[in-house]
Amino acid sequence: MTVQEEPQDLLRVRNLSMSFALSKGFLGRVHSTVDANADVSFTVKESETLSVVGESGCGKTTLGRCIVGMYRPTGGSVEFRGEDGRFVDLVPLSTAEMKPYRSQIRMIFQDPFSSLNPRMSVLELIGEPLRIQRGMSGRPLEDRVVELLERVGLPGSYAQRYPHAFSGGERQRIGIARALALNPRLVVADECVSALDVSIQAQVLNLLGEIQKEFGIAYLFISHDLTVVRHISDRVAVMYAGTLVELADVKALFDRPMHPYTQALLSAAPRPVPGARGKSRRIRLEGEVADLANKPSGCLFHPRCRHARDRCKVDAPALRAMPDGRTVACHFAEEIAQTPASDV
Amino acid sequence: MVADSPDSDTQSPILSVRGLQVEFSIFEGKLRALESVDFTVAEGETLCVVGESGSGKSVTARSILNMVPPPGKITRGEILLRRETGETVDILAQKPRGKAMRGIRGNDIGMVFQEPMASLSPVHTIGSIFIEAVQAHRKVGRAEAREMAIAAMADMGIPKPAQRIDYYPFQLSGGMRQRAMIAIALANRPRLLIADEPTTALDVTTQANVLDLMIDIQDSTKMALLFITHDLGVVAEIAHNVVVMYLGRIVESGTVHEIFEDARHPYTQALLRSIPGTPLSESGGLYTIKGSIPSRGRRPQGCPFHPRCDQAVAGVCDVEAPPLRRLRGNRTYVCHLPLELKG
Repeated sequence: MTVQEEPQDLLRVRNLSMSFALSKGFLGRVHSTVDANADVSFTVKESETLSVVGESGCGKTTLGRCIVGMYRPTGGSVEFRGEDGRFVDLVPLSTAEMKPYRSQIRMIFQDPFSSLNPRMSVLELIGEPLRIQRGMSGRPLEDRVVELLERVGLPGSYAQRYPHAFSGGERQRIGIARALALNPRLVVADECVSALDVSIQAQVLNLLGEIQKEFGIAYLFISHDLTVVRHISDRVAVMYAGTLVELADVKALFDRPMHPYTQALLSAAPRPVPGARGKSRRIRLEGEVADLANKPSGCLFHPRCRHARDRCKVDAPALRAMPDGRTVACHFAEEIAQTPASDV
Repeated sequence: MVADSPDSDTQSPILSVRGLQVEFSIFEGKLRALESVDFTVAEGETLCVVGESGSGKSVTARSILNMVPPPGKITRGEILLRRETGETVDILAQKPRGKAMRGIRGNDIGMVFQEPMASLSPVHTIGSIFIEAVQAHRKVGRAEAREMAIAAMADMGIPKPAQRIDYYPFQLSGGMRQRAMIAIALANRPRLLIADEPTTALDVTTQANVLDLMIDIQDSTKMALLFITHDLGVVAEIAHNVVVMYLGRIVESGTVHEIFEDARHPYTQALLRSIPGTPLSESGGLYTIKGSIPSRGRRPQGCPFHPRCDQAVAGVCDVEAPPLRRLRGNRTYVCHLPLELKG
C-alpha cells in the first residue's frame, strides 16, 4: 500500500438505503417494509476513525453490515477505492466479484462469546480467512497465525486452544487478529468493546489504536458509548431512525453539537465526574424513537424535538454543509446551535 | 443532582451488612464468592456498588434478599434490616422461603433487575403483576389495586397508563418495560430499593430519564437505594457513597467525591484511569490494567489484586492478605500500601 500525502477517501457511501420486508403475502409479495437506513451518505478517509453513534434501532448495525457486504442494500452505492485507486461500487457485485474486497474490508463483532465458532481452534479461526483468500496452509499458515496472536498481545501457544478456554477480552483479541489476518484497509467494528469489563475495554481500545498507527487501517467504529467514541474518533456520525442527522469532527461535535438530537444525546450521557452535571442541564427527550415502519412526516425527529416548528412537520431536512465543514440535517441548525444546552 | 450526602455515621442505617461471606460448593471444592463484606445504607442514601464481572456485586444483592441461588450458601455474617415499625431483623436468621422473608421481599425491600424481560412473567400483563405484588402484602381489593397500578404507571411517565397496564411485557419497549418494573418494585413503598444494573440495557436518553425518576422518588420518599453497576459515569451522577468490589471483597469505600478524586486503592485508581473522561484518566492512551480477572476459583494468594497491580511489592502483596485501613467513618480501603516501616 502506498503512503498518501493527504488522507484520501477510502469509502464513499452514497444515498444508501436498506429496507427489510415486514410481512410477505401470497407468492412472497411484500406488503410492508421497514427502512432501516434511508438515504445515508458519507465518506471514510484512509487511516481515520469514523464513529457511528445512535441509540438502539437507529440503523447503525445495518449500515455496518451493508458496508461489509452482509446485506445487499436496496438502494444507493457503497464505493470502495481499490488498490489501483479507482472506486468500485460494491453493491451490485456478485459473491465471486466481491471476494477480493472481502479481504480489504473486515469486521469485528460485538459479542466475543457468540462470534467465535466453539468447535474451531484458534489456529483454524484466525487461519480461515488466510486459507480461503490466500490459499495458505501448513507451516506458513501456522507462523502467520502465531505472528498475529503475538501482535494482539496473546501468546502464540494459544493457537491450539479452543474459544471456551478464553476470557471475553482474550476472545475479542482473537476476533481482532482474525480481522487483521488479511491486512485489511477498512475494519468495521460493531460495538466491539461493549461486552467487555472496563479494565479490559481499555486494553482493547489501546490495541485498536496501535494497530491503526502501525498498519494505517481506517475504522468504522459503531458504538453507543459516547465516552469511548469521544476518545477514539476523528469524526463522528450521529444517526437517528435510520438517517444521518449530523457528521462532524469529534471535537466540534462534542463542543458544539448543532442538531437538536445530537444535543439531547450528548446531554444524556453520564459523565464520570461527580457533580459534573445536574439534571437541569439535561435535555429530556419525551416519547419514543420514531417507528420505522410508520414514520412521522417531515423531519423524523420533529415529534420529540423541542425546537420543532410547522416546517419540520412537512419538510424533511437534507444534510447541509456548515462553514466549519460539518454536515447537519436540520432546517434551523444555525439558530439552534446558538441556544446553549443548559438554556431549557 | 447529588445533594448533600446523608451522613450514614449519624443516622441509623436501614440496612447494615456485617462480615458477609458466601460460598459456592462446586465440583472442585468450595469457592468463596463473598468475603467480609461490610457496608450500611441509610435513609435517603444512594450507595453504589461498583465492580467488574465476578466481583460479587450481584451475589451481594441476592444475599440481602436471602435468595442466593444454589449451590451458593451464606456461611457467615449478618444482614440487619430496620423495618418501618422500628424493629431490626436479621435477614439471615429467617428461613429463605419462610413467611417472614416473604413479608420483607417486595414490601420492605424492592428489587429491580437488569433485564426486565427475564424477570417479568411473560404470560401475565403488567397490571396483573402489579396487582399481585400489592395484594401479596396488603389487604386491598382488585379494583383499588388496579387504580394504584394505573397511578403508579403514570408516575413513571408511561403514556396511556390505563391502556398499557393490560399489555404483556413483550408489548412494551425496553425503556417502558424497565419503568414498569420499577413501578412494580415500588408498589409497596419499600424503604430499600435494590437495583442491579437497572439501566445497563437501556439507551442513554432512556437511561437518563429512568435515573431521574428513581432520584425523584428517592427525594420524595427518603427511600434507601442500593445501586449495583459497572458504569462509573452513572455512579458519578447518582451516588452519595460508593463501595468498590474486586473478587468478592470490598477493596475501597467512601463518598463519591472521595472515590473519584482521592482513590487510595490501586484497583480503584486503575479503574478510573482506564475509562475516558474521569479526573484521573490520561490524555493520551488509556491506562490499562494488565492481565484479566482471574477465573472462578483461581484466587491469587495474598492480595487478590496483586498480579494485576502495578504498585505491588514483592514479598508482601503476594504473601500476606492486605489489612483493612479505616481513614474515618466509612472511608476504608484494603491494601498494604503505603508500607509502614517495621522495627
